Amino acid sequence: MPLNKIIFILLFSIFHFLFSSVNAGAFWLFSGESKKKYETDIGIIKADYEKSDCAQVIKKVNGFLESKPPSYFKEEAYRYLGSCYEKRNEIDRALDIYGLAYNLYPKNNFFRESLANIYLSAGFFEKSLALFEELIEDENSSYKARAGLAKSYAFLGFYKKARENYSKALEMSGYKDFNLIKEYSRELIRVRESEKILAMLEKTSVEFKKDAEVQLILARLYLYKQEYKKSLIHINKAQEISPGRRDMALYGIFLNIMVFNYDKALFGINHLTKNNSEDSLALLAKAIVKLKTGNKKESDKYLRSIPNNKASFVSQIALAMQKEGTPWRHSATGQAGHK
Amino acid sequence: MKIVSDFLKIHPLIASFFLSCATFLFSTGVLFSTEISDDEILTDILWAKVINLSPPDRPAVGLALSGGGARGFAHVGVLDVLVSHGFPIDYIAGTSMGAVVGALYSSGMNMEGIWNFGREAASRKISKDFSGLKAINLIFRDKLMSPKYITEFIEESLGNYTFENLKYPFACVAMDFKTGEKIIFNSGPVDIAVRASANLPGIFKPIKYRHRYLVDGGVVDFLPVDVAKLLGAQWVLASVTESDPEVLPKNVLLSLMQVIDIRGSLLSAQAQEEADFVFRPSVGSVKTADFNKCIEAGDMGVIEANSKLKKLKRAYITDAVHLIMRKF
Repeated sequence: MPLNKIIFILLFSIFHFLFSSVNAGAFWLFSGESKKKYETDIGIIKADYEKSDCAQVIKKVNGFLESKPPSYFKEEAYRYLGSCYEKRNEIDRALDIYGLAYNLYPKNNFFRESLANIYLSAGFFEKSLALFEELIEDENSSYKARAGLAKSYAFLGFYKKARENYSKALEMSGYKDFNLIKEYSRELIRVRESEKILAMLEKTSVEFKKDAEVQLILARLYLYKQEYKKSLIHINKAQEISPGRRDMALYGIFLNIMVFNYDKALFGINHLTKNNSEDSLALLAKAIVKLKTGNKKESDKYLRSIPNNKASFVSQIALAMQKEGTPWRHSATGQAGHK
Repeated sequence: MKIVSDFLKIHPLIASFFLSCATFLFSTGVLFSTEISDDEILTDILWAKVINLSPPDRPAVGLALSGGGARGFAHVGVLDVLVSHGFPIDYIAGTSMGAVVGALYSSGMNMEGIWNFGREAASRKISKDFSGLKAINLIFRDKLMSPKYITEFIEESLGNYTFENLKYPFACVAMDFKTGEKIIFNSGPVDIAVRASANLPGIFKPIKYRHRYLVDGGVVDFLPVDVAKLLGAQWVLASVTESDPEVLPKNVLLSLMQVIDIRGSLLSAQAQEEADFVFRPSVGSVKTADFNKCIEAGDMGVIEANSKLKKLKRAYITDAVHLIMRKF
């Protein structure tokens, strides 16, 4: 074999060995300096990330990735890049990065959990469910993964599994995550498991019970139990803590109607209509008060004043209440209904 | 749990658009916001009222469950969602698989027990009642089959019940094979009635009962909305599980069942018009005899019912508003 050819093969083999490895440690000729450089670069990126300078993080990571760093540095870089895109609300890009990283680093639960959370918040519950199910297989997974799974099940309608997972998540959190407790309580109200809610709230702190949302949850709980006076006590507490919340004011108005405190109900209604004379739900409440106090003509007047809007349930109820005649049909076939 | 993954597959560009919108809404607090909207408040208030009323203070609700074989297991998912949310069900009427599910619920069996029926359907080899060997028997020996496993299951679960001692009022539909008459069962032993209702004509032997030769009611009343009304329902909620006409049958037996399905779909169109609300779980790809896919069908029922639950509640409240206001 000619000498040139032998030299060529030898050199080719050496360089192939040096440059084909993805591990910086294999770069035995240059490894020390390259590794130090990557460490420095990632350190700078980390510092920018900790200062919340996402613009710099994005710029530097993209450059860093072009230098083809070793795998473990890339993994860290993707983490900062994905988080920054999320912080900047560039969700499509965050999704791309997390999706790529999830496939490259299947053991890294950060990417899996981030992807799951994005899918959950965007309403892709089947996708989030699949990812959260993967996460909880890891015995070191956080209660938040379990909570994410519960929420995915709840939104899909699998309530039993939702409740099982909420319950486990709460136990894992030591009943210290107030938002989780509130979320689970709202889920339980939907299926009217009032005793479970009360038992759970018993385990929380006094401070927690002073939260307006918690008082609203308790108000709704007693509403479903038909204990309207108790419900009213809690809604009044909620309004004291969070004055100005429209939903609490409206619950208060309707509860006052249900306990026949029409004067208090009207006081609340007038407060709302003072700011907006076309407040549909306030007007509907007023129509109901007039109806209950025997003034059908006045009631119809308020019902007619509510704007007709097919997309609004308030409007549909106002229309339905205006229809005269037999309260219920008794024909054999009935009219075509809601398809 | 297997969820049909095709449910949410959409074009990536469309997905990006929705993601962006969803994220915008999320960031502005619209999605997952804790402040309750006006429509939600009103639904909550009126729903809390109506579910604590009984007829005649609210319209009596009938649930009509269609046939569909293994597809009909979707009714279990629908029922699960309704029961979880306390949606009142005062009467149940069913045909074929709808009769099986309806009867199990009316007997007082809890939802977990009914789901177990689906889990056991595969292990009980109910699909074997439609197996190749039996089909050969049908074609070559010109002999109708006996649905051994289905019969066993129904007798075990419902053998001790009469219509009179069921927890909830229930009726099911069969057809007299000799006269073509629709036969409505609402008295006597439940197991014979349900077996008759689920007895596929031309495949299984007719069931002889009180001088009648009875087969599946799906041929005369696939979706028994009128039967629910005859029981006393004033507001009827229907759950219908139709086959996918694009899925071509692969053998003679499945072809026979497809013909029955098509007949059923034609009949149910009119019945759906007469119902007050209709659920249509997406179970077209589940074949009539595919009892291994019961749980999948059930899950589709859950997804369908859950996605329409708000609309359902509001529809019922709207229709019942005059009665609700009397008790408000």
